[in-house]
Amino acid sequence: MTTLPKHNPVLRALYFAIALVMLAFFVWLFAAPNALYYVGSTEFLAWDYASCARAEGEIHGSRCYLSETIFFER
Amino acid sequence: MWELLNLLGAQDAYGNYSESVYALVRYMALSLSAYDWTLVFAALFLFVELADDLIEKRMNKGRIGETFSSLATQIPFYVSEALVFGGVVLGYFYIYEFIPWKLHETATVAFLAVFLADFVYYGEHRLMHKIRLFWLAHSVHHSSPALNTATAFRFSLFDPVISGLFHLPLVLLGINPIFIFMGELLVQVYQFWIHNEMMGKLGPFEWFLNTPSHHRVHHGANAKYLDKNFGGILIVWDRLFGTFQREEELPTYGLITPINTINPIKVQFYEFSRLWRDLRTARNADEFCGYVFKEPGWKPHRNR
Repeated sequence: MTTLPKHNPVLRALYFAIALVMLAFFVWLFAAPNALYYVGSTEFLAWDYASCARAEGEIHGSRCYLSETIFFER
Repeated sequence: MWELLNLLGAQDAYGNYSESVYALVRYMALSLSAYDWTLVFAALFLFVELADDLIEKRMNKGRIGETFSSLATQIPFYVSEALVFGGVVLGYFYIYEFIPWKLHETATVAFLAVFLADFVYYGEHRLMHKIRLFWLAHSVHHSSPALNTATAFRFSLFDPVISGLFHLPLVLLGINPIFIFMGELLVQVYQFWIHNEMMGKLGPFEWFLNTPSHHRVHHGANAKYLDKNFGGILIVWDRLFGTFQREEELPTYGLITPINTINPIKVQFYEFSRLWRDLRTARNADEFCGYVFKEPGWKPHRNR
C-alpha cells in the first residue's frame, strides 16, 4: 500500500473538489450542444455563427448555434 | 481560422463550406477550449500543491526551483511548437490529399482518432524511453526529482518533431489531420492532472485509466518502476503489452543519474552533453550507432 506524503486535509479536499469540478466541466463542454457558446473563443463562435447562418439560409440570431448539436447531421 | 480553411480549399465554387468543415471547426473549437481551460485548472492545482508544501514545511529552494524550471521549459517548447507545427500541418494535409480512402468527419471518427492517438502515444512514449535519440528529448520530462502539476508541463523543445513523426500513420488510415491533431491534443490535455502526490488510488478507474498512482510509477527511478506505465489516457495498453506496474511504495522521482540543476537551458540540453561524451569514446560505426539508437545506458561489450 502506497503511503503518500502528509497533506493538509483541507487542501487535499480542495484539490479533490477542483478535480471534480474540472471533470464536470469537461463532460459538460463536450456533451452540451451550447457549451461553446459560453466558453469558446470569439473567433470560433463568429465562424460558427456565420457558417450556421449561411447553412440555414437566413440569420436566426444566437439560436442558430444554440440549436445545433456538436456535429451537424443534416 | 478562415485563412487556414481557405488555404486548404474548404470552400466550394460558390464560397460555401461543406458540413464536414462545420464538424471540423466545432471539434477544433471544443478541443482548443479544453486546452485553454486545462491551463486554468492546472494553475489552481499547482496553487493548492504549493500551499500544501508550505503548510507541511516541504517547501524549500530546491522544490521551488524545480517547479520554476519545469514551467520555464514551456518557453522553448512553445517556440518550437509554433515553428514545427506549421510544417507538420502542411505535410499531413499534403499526404492526406493523396489518400483515396478518406474517412468522413463524423463523431465516430473523432472518437476513433482520440482512441488511436492514445494507442500511438503508447508506442511513441515507449520508444522515447527505449531509443537514446528520442530519449534526448523525453529525458527532459523525467529529469525533475520533484513531482507536481508543473512537471506535466516540463517538455523538450524537440518534442513537437517526434510527435509529428509518430502520428503520421493515422493520416495514412484516412483520418482528417485536424482530427489527428485534436486527438493528440486531448491525449496531452488528459495527462496534466495525473502528475501529483495529492491523490491516492482511484478504485476501479485504476483498471483502465492512467491515474496519478500509475503515473507516479512511470516517473520513478526505482529499479522495478523503470520503463513502466507508458499509457496516455488508457492504462490498458500497458496491461496488454506487459509494461504495467502497480504502485507499491512511493517512487523516487527523476533520472537514475540526477542532473542536479534547475537551470532551464541545462535541463534542455544535459542529455545531449552526455551523449556527446559517449560518442567521443565510440571506436567504430557500430558503437556510434549503438549509442544513438539503442536504449539509454547502452555500452559496447568492451565497457560492460
